[in-house]
Amino acid sequence: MSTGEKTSMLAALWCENRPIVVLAALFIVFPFVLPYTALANEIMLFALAAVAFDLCLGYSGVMMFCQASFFGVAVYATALTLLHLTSNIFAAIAVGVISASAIAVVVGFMATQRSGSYSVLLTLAFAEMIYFIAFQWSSLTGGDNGLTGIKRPNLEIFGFPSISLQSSLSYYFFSLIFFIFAFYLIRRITLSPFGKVLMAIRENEQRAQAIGYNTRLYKVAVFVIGGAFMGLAGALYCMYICFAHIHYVHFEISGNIVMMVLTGGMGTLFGPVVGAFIIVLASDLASALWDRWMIVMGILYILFVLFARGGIWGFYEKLLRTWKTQKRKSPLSKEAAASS
Amino acid sequence: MKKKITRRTFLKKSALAGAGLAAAGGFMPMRSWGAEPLRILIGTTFSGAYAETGDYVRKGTQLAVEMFGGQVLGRPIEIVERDVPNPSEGVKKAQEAVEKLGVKFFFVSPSSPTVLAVSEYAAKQQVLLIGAAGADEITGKSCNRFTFRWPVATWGAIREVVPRIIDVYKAKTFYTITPKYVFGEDLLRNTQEVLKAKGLTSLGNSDHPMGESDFSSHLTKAMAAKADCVLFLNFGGDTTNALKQANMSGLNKVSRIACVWGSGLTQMKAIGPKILDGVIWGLQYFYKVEAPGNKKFVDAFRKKFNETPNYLAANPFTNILVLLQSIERAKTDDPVKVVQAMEDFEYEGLTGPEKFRACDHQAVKPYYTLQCKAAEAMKTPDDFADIIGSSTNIQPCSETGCKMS
Amino acid sequence: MIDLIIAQVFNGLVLGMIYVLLAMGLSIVWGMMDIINFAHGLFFALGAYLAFTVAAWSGSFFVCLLVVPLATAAIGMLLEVSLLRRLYGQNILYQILMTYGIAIAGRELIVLLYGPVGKSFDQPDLLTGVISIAGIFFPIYRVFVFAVTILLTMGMWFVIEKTRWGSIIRAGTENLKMVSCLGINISGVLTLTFGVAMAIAGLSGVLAAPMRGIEPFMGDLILGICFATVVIGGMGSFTGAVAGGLIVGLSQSLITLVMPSASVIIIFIVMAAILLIRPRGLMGIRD
Repeated sequence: MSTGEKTSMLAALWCENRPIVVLAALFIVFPFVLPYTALANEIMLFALAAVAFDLCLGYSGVMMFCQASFFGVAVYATALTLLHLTSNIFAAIAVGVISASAIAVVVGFMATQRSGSYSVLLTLAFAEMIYFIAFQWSSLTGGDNGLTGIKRPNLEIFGFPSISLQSSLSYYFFSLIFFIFAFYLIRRITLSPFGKVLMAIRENEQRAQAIGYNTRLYKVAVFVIGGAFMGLAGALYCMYICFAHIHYVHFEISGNIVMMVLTGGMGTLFGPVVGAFIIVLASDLASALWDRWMIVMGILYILFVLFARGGIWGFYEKLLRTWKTQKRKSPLSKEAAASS
Repeated sequence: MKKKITRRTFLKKSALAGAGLAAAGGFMPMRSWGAEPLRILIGTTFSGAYAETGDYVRKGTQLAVEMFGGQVLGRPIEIVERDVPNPSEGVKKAQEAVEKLGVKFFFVSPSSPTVLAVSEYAAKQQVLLIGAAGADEITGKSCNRFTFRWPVATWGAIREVVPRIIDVYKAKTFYTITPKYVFGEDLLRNTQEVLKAKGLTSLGNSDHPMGESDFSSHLTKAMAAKADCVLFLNFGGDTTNALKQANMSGLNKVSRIACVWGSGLTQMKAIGPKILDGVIWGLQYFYKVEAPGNKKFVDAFRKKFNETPNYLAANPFTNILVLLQSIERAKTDDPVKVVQAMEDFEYEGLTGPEKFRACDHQAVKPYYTLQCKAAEAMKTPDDFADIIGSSTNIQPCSETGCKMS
Repeated sequence: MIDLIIAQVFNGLVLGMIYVLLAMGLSIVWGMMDIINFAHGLFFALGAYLAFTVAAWSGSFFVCLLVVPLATAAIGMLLEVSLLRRLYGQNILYQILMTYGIAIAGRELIVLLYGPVGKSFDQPDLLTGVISIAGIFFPIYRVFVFAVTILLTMGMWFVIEKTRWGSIIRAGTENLKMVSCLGINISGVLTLTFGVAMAIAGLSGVLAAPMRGIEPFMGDLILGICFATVVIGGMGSFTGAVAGGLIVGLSQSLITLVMPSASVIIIFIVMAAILLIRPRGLMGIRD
């Protein structure tokens, strides 16, 4: 390859991935700007779960109410691994992701048996069953007391000295690496041929089937991929808070993730990040100010449906488009157009 | 074309986000001039089964701070109030308190799972926690140097109420209705131990799932069992509901009714004397307790809030007061030293002389059994019940399972 | 033992009839207007809270039975005209988001007005007490509720099967567009129908209040059961709502005999089974 080709390749790589670099830069700055580091961790891990769900909903049109099942099962799996098996951080994360994916295969397979609201209700029923099992099987999960005594492991890579992850800040940067990498992967999926098929299924499933795609398989795949990444978020969350509890398999978590994607702007990947930021920050700040702050959330949801379907991201993109169209109509650009 | 939009969009996004972050940063509290306040985190709840707790915790805390003079070690006392409806929120708010506000003292009420979760975090951060919940393991197998607990644990509570019922009512057969919480199971386990030790039988148990609002099926089973006494091992709003429905279904015609874990006056007011007549209650505290410390508290509370205090307000009151006294005695706000000052120190509490024993940081205090009276027998609007017995039951240190490092 | 079973069957039937009322409303709205109404539970709670206020103001429970459904119908119609109208034919996501938003805002408003602690609401003195038949105790109030709900259900059946408005509803559930092609003022019918559905939901809240107690989250808790009931019985079918409600009520009370802590989850297990085996539900008219 000539230098010219190499440069243009690098330039293309930079262009395509600049958004992610900006995202990473923002998240690096986060913990220093937010009131306390733990909040940044919370935002980032829920952003990861929301982006994973956006792959399902925004790109494939697959709605579900079992996000907490994937997230929470990973929290439990990671906790149990750290308590009983090993203190290797990578093993703990792997067990979390695999458990969540296993659940996702089963739920995905059953839910895709039907479509539309029936499929969604099936995911709801399974989510309730998983919650019930977690609650009843208290010898394993600790029931409503949860699991305590979880020790956050340090980073140990063979041949290198152990890096301490005990402080909030160091653990944040450790998780950040996973977050950025996961975001990059999910984005690559949306830009790949596989991603195009997903979008086709979202637009018109029957037509996609008519072309010859096994849409059911794709939908199950999206359950598994989404579930795996939500599981990653759960595994990292477990080690951030050093606690596992039925709260993490409760519908409330699923509801929050859905809201983050819808209010952030579905089908954009960056929208859900904004959505997570807003919802986590709002619930943290607002709950200290007014006991009944949720009423504002309720009203906001109504307003979103009425005026801002595309979510915050969509609203922002619409603003951008209007601004650009204004610019195009200005005399300066007319001149440029005239001279070309 | 798509790439161009993405690039610009991102730069704009970063500007927008940057502005957002700056705005969020602007919400950080300003450091106040003068002496650094001593902050205490009060974690309580305003919704769900324990909804009535929040308001009373606030009142009890306020009174304690006021009675102490509003200042400790020459610094103003600042109460940081946070809603912790579940253990996850508990840990998050604890993190916020430590990382953002530098808080060193926590008071968390009333759910056991929340106290347990915060207790672990507090110990890690060397923050003193007073947990206001009843699960045995808080000062048992999950105990630690930094956690204290005032209410009598389920072990002690059951060992006052159940033998009292057997004595006073000659009850030989029991039926239990238990909520499917770990805490409910604690109460059930202790009940079964006590019954077995006395050679008596439980005719059966019905678990109700959390959030159960219709108890009819469980009450029907209880009535079919025809036990001498039906024990309700639930708490808060669940007990209130269960009792009302028990009355509706006629359970009182078949068996005596007892509730082992009451919260006191507010609950009694919500249920009403018509339904309460003859019901037996186990309580941590009642305003009628005869002790000089209690008289001072009840008078001050009535004067300030125009109502008679209940357990939910008494708990934070006594604990915050003792905490402040210990900080003053230790002459420092270092939690390690304050812990030492609090251990084994005898003080004049709401039930008489009390202390937090050093081996597990459990307060040594009695549990009370009351019997409710009919509306005609009430001498004042608060006169719902009389204390028919009390005793202090506490597991020997070696048997609690607590290993303090 | 047989005593116990009879008593539990009675409990299940009473519980079931409340669910029947709720399912009727939800089924009509879902089947005919194709709106998934996450705010249905809110109207159940509203019914109970309004009963508390009306009873305190008027001193009579029976006045509540009349006034509260009218109030919830009015609130419902207002909501339909102002907000829900925009959801017709829309993606279910937006329906969920908006109705969920309404449910949250409504619940928080209730807490603002009435406080976070549950309220006490007793059955009227006239209906207090138990009657004993063959040694089994039947609370009078529950017998009353059973009677009222049966009458109401029969009344609704009559209206739906035998009146013109009822036939419009049935036709609308099958094919709304065709009905408007026939020259019927659809928007008026929809508003009225929504009002009636919310009136029934409010009434069930009034009836349930002495049995279950009143607390701010009561709407959230019952919503899941409502959806399960409609799925099991079959969306858009009147007999389906009745069958679904009774099955759910009986399952809950009878499972208490065997595994009491499963009384809530059993509903979701049955719902999942129905969705996988026969999604149309027991008596639904379409998949």
